[in-house]
Amino acid sequence: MSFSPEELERYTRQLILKDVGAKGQRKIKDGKVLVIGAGGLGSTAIMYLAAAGVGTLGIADADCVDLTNLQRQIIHTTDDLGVPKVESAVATVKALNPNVEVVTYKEFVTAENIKGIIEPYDFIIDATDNFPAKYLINDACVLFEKPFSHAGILRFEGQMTTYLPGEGPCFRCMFPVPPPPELSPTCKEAGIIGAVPGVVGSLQAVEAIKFLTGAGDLLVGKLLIIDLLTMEFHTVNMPREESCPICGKEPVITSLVEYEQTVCDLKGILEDE
Amino acid sequence: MTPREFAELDFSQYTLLDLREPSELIADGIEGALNMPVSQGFGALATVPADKPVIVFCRVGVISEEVAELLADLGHDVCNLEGGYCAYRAVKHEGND
Repeated sequence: MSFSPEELERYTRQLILKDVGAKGQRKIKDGKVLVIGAGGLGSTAIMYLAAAGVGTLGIADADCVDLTNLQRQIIHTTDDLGVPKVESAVATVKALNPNVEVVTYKEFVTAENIKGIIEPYDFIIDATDNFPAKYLINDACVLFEKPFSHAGILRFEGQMTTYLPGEGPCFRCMFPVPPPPELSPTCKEAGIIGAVPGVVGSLQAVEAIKFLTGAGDLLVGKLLIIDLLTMEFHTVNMPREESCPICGKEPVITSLVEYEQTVCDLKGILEDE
Repeated sequence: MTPREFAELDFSQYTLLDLREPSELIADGIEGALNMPVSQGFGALATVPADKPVIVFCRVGVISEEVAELLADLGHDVCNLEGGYCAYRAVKHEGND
């Protein structure tokens, strides 16, 4: 595949980077990345992937843009109030890099639709803001063998890990059951400053690009924990758990079900053991 | 292509592509070489003539390696000068000692 003069000019600065180069740029252009969530994490993830020239970018979000979003969801603008987030995101992507093909899913991921949605993609980015979705995405990626980046933020803290099928631990290895609601407030309840999810979403974009090009080391088997008040970044080694309910030796979860409910049921199962 | 092999060539049979800054060519360059400084972006690569084989070089041969790949993708018969102009300059001076 050769690049157009516009693309050659556009990607000059990354073409001269040894870890990308001509070969890497081809892999990026052949790459298909899905970002689930076009909000705080998704904004920077989507924008940097588009800027880098990912060939196909999937964006999934059922919401519309609200004024309270704009302090952090910088892919949307004041002119987009009331517009579906996927539409606003597409417009930003196209303005940034018309070479990117965008596929949108104006819906929330569910046990029914997620398999079909993730199927065409090489790498999935969990940019969601709630635990049921995070467990659903984890389970779908484990069951259907898709690499993915998990990330979560709370006030000034963030965490992130990368799952490769059959290789490292999955999200459930690390967190078999979700935290109780009082320990997991949403941004609406806890508050947030936009640059925090901006940083983490950008890190997710870097992981996706590294996955596509083969550069560097992915956060497989590692949990990156960042505290942006103290500026401490720690990486903790996390093993694959033999007792993991989905990727362990005797999986309890063998198919997707409704997530609010299953999470409660699973908690019951694990407590009984 | 090694600098020694390069030094033996009849340059009129090739399109030489120099990726360095214009000031560097003025100081020390090869007459007749095309200059496409990296700093100005790779958009002009599509205009490299296809009538002769291309030899591309930069200062030390790292960036030119990528450019050779891009030119090969565009259908050119292209070679990278290993070690870049610095290596060629060293071989040239050897000959003059």
